[in-house]
Amino acid sequence: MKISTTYLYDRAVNQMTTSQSNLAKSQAQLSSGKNILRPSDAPEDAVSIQRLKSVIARQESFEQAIQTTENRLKTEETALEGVSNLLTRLKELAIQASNDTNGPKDREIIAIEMQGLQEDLLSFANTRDANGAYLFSGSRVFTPAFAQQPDGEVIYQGDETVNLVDVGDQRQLRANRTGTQVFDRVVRTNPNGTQFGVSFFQSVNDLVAAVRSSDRENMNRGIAELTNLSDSVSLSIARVGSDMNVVSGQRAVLEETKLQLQTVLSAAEDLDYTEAVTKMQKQILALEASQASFAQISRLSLFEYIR
Amino acid sequence: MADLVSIAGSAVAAYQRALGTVANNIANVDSAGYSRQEAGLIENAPRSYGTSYLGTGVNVTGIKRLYDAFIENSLRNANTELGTQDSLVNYANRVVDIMGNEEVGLLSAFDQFFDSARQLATDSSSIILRSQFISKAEALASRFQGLNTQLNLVAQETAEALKSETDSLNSLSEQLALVNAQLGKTKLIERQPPAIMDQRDEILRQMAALAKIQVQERSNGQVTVSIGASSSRGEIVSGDVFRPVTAVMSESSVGKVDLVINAASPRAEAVFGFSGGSISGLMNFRSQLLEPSFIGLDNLAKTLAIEANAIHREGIDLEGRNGLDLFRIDPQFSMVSNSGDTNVRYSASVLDIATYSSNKLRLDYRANAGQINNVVLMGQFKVGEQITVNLNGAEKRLTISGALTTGPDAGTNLVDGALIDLDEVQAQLRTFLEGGNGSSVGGVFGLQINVEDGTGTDLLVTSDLLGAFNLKVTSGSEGGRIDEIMTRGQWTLTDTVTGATTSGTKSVALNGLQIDLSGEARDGEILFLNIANSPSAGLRVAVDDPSRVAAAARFRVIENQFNPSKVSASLFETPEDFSADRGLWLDSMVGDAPDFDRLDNNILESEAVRFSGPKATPIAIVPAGYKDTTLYLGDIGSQPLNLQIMTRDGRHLLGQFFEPSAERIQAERDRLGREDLTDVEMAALFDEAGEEAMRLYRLAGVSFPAGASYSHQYLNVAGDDAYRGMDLFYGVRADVQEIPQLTLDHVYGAIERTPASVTSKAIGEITASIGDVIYGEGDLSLNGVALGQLKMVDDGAGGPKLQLTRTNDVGDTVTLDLPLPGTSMNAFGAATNGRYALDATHLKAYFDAHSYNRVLGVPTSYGRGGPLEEFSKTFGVTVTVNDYLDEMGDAQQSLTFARQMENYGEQQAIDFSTAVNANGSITVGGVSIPLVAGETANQVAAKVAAALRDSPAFGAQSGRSIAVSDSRVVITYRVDEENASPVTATLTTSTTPAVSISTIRDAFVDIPRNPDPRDSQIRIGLGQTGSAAQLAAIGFRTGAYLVGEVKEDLLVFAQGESGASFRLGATFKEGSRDAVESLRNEPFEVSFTGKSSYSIRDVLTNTIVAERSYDPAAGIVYRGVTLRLNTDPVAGDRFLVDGNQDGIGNNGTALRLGELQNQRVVGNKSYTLSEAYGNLVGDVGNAAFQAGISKKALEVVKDQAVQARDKVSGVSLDQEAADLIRFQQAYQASAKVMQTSSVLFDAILGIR
Repeated sequence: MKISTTYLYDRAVNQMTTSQSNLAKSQAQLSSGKNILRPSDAPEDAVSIQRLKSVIARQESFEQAIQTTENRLKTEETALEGVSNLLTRLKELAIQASNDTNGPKDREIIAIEMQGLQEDLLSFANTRDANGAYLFSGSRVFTPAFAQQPDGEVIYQGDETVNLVDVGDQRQLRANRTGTQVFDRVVRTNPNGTQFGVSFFQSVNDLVAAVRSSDRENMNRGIAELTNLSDSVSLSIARVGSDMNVVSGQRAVLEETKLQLQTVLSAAEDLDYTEAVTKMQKQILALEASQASFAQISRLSLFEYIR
Repeated sequence: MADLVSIAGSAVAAYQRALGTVANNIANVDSAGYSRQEAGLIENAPRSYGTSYLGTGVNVTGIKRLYDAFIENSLRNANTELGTQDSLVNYANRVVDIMGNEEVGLLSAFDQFFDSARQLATDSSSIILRSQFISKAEALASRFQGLNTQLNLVAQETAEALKSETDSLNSLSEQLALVNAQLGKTKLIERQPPAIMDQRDEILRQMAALAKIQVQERSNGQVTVSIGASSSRGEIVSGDVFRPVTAVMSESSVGKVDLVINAASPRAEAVFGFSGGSISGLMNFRSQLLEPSFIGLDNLAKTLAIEANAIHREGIDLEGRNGLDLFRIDPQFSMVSNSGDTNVRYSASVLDIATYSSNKLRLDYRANAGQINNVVLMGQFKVGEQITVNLNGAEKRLTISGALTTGPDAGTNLVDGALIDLDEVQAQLRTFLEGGNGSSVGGVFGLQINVEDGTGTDLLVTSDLLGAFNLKVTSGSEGGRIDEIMTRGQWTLTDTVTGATTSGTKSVALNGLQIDLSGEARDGEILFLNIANSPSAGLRVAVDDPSRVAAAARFRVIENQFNPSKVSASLFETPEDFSADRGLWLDSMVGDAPDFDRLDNNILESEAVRFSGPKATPIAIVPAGYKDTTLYLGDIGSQPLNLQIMTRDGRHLLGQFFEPSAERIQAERDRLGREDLTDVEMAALFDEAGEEAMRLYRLAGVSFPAGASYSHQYLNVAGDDAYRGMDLFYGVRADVQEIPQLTLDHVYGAIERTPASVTSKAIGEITASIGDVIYGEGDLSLNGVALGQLKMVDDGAGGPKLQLTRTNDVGDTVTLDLPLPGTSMNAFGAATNGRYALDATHLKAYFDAHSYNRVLGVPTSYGRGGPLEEFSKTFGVTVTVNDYLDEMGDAQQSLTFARQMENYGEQQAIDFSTAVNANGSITVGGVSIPLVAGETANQVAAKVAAALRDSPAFGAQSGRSIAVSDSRVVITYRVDEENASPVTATLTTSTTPAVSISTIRDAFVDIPRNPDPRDSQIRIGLGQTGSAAQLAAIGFRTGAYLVGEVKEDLLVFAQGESGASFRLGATFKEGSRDAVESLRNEPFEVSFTGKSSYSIRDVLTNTIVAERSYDPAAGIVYRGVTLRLNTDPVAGDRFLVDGNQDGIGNNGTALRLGELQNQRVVGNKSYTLSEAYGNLVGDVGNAAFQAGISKKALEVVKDQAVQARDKVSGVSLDQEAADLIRFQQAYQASAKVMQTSSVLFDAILGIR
């Protein structure tokens, strides 16, 4: 079959251009370390790489949320431990006061200290976080959780909102505990047998009043209730603790997930250097071969021999 | 010898040519389109010598161009195919690289936006996080804009490429036309110069790369070239004529490009079925890849805005306000007027993102089609001043009233001359223009005009009916001024793509877009609005103040701190969907059910909807938000039929107790061992019957919530204990009418109060036997007091009489006989089978004779004064007794008419009709007054009045006045005669046949001492056992009156025996109520009454709106929110759900915004936003990839075609070298022959 001279030259040039551009691409891959230089090289892969990156970014944002939650839990834990200690001291005082060796004056003195402790309790209940938001006010974060009325009654000013925070694709955590959850009510029984709830601070107030007035029956009731109150605070501390466990567990899960995703991402996105270098060697060889052979072939012309 | 020379000569010449051809081939080895040439050699014709032939040499037949039409054609095709893919691949890769780029593409921007929402949820009160959220939203919006810009650049580039490619095509066509002209000079293709033929083929090849061409070759090598599907059309070159092709880009759609031939000439021709070549590749790229990318991007932008806005609007911002739109779309316009410059200014905003499209719009202005009058109030008006309104020549005046209806002081009444706010004047003027009935038909002029509040204290008046009208509003005030600005003309807006139109005077809305127009337009002016940007380019963040980011949820649940259990509750919004009920709404009861006609503000009984048979499903629904609704039950005859109105939660509000069956009552009696059941015991039975009714309704498909139970606690209860404070009543009700005075008589009395009045309609015939009870004791009540029994009894003389019985408050049974004075058995008609027909005449006589209250059965034993006084004290009402004497047209019989009159406040009028024509007499208090033929009614009245005045028992009483007015005798009694003894006067008329007393009407009891209008209502209601039929028996139509706004959907049932038929009429004002928004202001409390039962209490009105059993799986669903408990509740647990007015630390909405990332919201809810974008990139990428593969395949095809052509037409230097040597040797050999012949010749010459 006849091959025209133009065709011969054109084809040789085409082949060399192709080899050269392949080589250039390989070189660019090697220098960037990426498998895919432009999305158009492998659109599907490029999209899935971006999806992976998006999932990783989401894990990172969960980690950030976990950090915020953990800070908050720590603040809550500190406040609750303070409350727990105060309650222990209150109980000591109450038991001391209930001792028959005490006269009304002694009890008055004890009552004054207990009153002070009650106020400390209140200040713990109104703890704020780093942003100045009250920890135990539910969603009324700019309103103190508990306020003492002129008549001594302590009322809860927050609400019952428990905010949830996303800490994983399928995992939510409580971000806060409300005042009424932490400072739980006690249940008293009416003479007629029906039950009713009494607030945390009312119970303490009643106890202080009982000590002050040497009301033995109410003192005993108050001591029994203090045990309940301590228990409920301890329970809250335990809950905070378990939430913190959940937090650290979730953090580990997220890190693990992220690592896996990054492995997958690396496999999709990063260049296999061994393979790439080998490929480039081949391409160089091919280019050199086509250049050399062209040089040879171009000399082959009948005119060379017509003298 | 000579022949030898000539043979050699011919050969030398021939080979010289052949060598020339070879030389030419070598010279053109690199010329584009050159076809190898060969010199054709042929033996010369031999000469005959005797029997043999001698050759005469060689001859060149011509220079042959090596050419294969078939190969040439396939090469052209290969060029076309490759051209198609080439441009597609180039641009598709551009788009993929733009959209798939991490920095430009949307994926990372989506991530960051949703991430910022999640971070906001960790501390939603933080201003820093809020600002970050806004800036990430802005980044996302600008990413959309950036992408749109990039794609627009590609669109522009491809548009330019299309233009340049068509230009190339046109220039090639022009060259080809010139070539054709050259070829035209020769008739035979063989004679055509090869260079020109090569040029022709080269041009055709180039054209083929641009577009798929059809080539027809004529015998002389001229070609006709056409593009498009059919070769008979779309000719671009024919002979020496070429026709230029233009690519016309559509303004409305990127993907739409039309090729037009000879676009500039009147015979422009559109190309159909065009395909192939780089032009087609560009067109394919635009329609198959670029346009879908634009659409996909716009769709994403719209979806993002719609979804994020929907969530954000359901949130609450830092200051407790409702969330606004988070994103908006700003359209950008360019406007062109048909008349060059224009004075019209416009502004546009996107109202509804979902329907927004960027289609080109056309605005037509017609000066006389519509009008808007802006009435501006200024200055200071005073109470009592007037405003004159002239509409098309008719004039009406408004006197400014002091009764305030707007503002904080609404309800107070200012004295004349007091200063009054412009807002109040504006409201009064608006009410006046509308005729006090909203924008419905009528108005003071009897014409429908639409009035809207303008921007300040101004009113915008338009009329759909009149279009243009003449309105003049003038102030009659000293200090108040009124200006009017009239704007004429109407704009019609048309979508040039879909053809949809809309019109308006100053603003028009279409495609989710509102366009406000101002400035002077010319009649007939047309404006074209091009929307320069698509939704993705116009996407903006609408919130710029961090505190306006609505991060909090709209609702919250507050556990009561004294709850006995430790259960905690969480709340979700789960919007209710009652759209299936839409067809039952009062305004749209059309269609479906065969019995249903239209029930639309229709109070005329004859036109009301007819139903046949009671329905176990609602016969109508009064939707929440409707105002002042009344449903009338008509045409029921004596059927025991009632309307039953219930809430969706089984609260029975209006109607009649569901009747327990006789067996059930008996069973209860047997169980208790006694006949009389207490009210409590009966109530339990009624509840049981109600539960049974609900069960039946449920079976018939009424969707009461799961676990809902029946309650009649609010049945027919009015006042403070009424259901959710609504003013509801079932029975007959009339209110005091308060009508603002608009008279011209300079009496500035603000409001005239017309006493409440009810008028029974003409009573049909009641057929009753002796012993029949028309209504029983307690069946009916008047303003809450139970009425006695009305019964047909034997009058002792063998005739019937009516008897009222009532047990009074001390337990005595009081009986009141209602004899028919002066009537005989005949008046009742003959007894048929022991039943008497009581017709209207007689019942009316009762009404008249015994006063209304007696007929109804109000006892007389209520202390001081007579029954009417007691009546007025007890009920505080005004009753109008309609007198039916006018129906006694047949005056053959004499009638004695008696009326008991006592000293309570009363005014009574006796009406005389036209002139009395015959002799007769009227007896007044025993004195007979003779009547003379020919007397006028007025004269008769005067006589009667005089006789009454003269009557010692009647006229001489102080405090009474008797007057004659318009042929009426008006008798007025004072109210303060506490101790005056009762007086009896009897008015007897006796007429001859020609004399008639036509009517006695408008006798009414007026008790002005009770100023509270609420107490002046008339309410005739039903007791526990009454029914609408009993009210119908005494001429009243029973209705359900829902005064004010209906706070929730009410289901209206018809209850009665099957086969019953009746009509239902209704009046109402349409309105709507946003369930969720209203719930925000109406907190409710869920109280557990047991472990598995709870009630829901409306906190504001302390109404129990639902009592249900508790299903832990379903939670507690009420009015679009669902409450879930984490563990089992116990009795006494209470949960308050409120509108979260101050819960700024709540993060509910921020969480939802974050979760939007994983929600499938795009493409029929199958993809998340990110996935949809990924798909978009993937689709373009795949197309590019496919095109790339086919491009490679086509390159091979083209390669082969080129090779095939080269095989025939290509120049190979080796071949030429060989030819060169071959021809050189032949040439040299021939030359040798010549030399030889010359030697031979010389040899011969040399013979001596």
